[in-house]
Amino acid sequence: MNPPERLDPQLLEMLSAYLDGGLEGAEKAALEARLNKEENLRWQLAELRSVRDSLRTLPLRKPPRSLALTTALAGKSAGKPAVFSPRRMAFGSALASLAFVCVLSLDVLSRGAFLPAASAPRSLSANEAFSAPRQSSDTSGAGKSAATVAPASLPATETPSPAATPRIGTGSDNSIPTETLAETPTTSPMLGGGCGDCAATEEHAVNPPQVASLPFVATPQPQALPDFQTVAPYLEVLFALAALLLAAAAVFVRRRH
Amino acid sequence: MEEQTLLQDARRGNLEAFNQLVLIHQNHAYSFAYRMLGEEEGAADAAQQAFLSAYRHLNELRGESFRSWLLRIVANACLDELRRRKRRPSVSLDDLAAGEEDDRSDESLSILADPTEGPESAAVRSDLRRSIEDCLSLLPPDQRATVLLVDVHALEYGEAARALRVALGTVKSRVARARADLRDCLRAKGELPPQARRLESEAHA
Repeated sequence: MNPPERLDPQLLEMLSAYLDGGLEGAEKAALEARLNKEENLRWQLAELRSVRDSLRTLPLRKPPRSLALTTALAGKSAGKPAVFSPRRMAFGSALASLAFVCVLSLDVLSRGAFLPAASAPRSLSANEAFSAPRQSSDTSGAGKSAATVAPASLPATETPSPAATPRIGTGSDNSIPTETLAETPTTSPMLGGGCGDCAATEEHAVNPPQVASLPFVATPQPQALPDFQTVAPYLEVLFALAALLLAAAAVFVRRRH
Repeated sequence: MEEQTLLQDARRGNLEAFNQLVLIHQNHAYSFAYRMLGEEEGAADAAQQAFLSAYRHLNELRGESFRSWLLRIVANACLDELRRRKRRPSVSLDDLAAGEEDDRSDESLSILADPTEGPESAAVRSDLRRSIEDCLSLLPPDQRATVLLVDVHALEYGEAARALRVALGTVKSRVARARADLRDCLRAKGELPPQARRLESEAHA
């Protein structure tokens, strides 16, 4: 008798599962009905069973040497993952990403404090808050209380407060749009730069009704805010270093594993 | 000592208790690795690395038998090694010599040998065993790992699926294909397993 014909993969899978008791119900009954009728199928089943039984009795091999662990090989106690285990490094990678996001955020926040008026938000924002104390220190040199003068002199509808920072006053930043400057009230203490503005500042300072008529009066922020600007670059560097270290450790561990 | 007690002791860092587990399971780990990699030293290294990894991650063993968990580690180590070899194929003279020695020697196979078996039937059995191992080595690694886990090391389909991180249906089809391919290979070698040969002679009669 010739060897049995090849089966289609689906039927083969069913026969193999049937051998292992993996068929149930109607599927099993249908296959058994076919087995009763088809000799080729019975033949296939017998051969598969024979192969499986031979595999099951395949003897185990003895290793050429003992596989027991020595103290030196084991290194450390069981269950305690290594300091730079992949699991810990996965957590480290997450921390590195977080640190990177922090760096970016800090960068955006600190840069935002020096943004030109055109890009600054129109309502009172953190940017204004950061710029306010600077105005305070500059205008105080002119003998006035900037806490009340400078921010109050800015109309809330056209708030150019970041433009009032000393950087802009020096004229080093050319990115300020002309129309912005035109819209900016001349009462801004620093836009003109130098002491020529002091007079304008004084004029506003001694003209309370005008201040009172403004729809919005910006309240200067506490003195602690300049500290943020001072600290921000250091924090950025710190976070960037942390991110770099964690990323390097992750790469190192990945290579070892 | 019971396996669970050994495991508890090993989790507390008792290396001696863990080595008792090694002694119990090393033949399974090594046999699997040998039939996957096809050479003694590499298989022994892979099995020992698997034990080392198991020792270091014992706390991750939850609700699973130690043997099936260990075989999962060995299986993945062997599949990784085979992928690595495929990327960078290199066969040393030592490997070739070791392979030839393996073919000639049955010393490492004495574990399940039946002492009451006569020399003739032992020789037939040995030939069949060698043919099966040859045919196993021709299977694709994924199929080989699956059929070894299910048929040689008696893992349930579900355990094999977890060990190889594949679906249950994948295990079923791999086992079916592997058995059919082994049958074809053995038939080509004139080494159909005895039951099938008996069936064949009955058919001729």
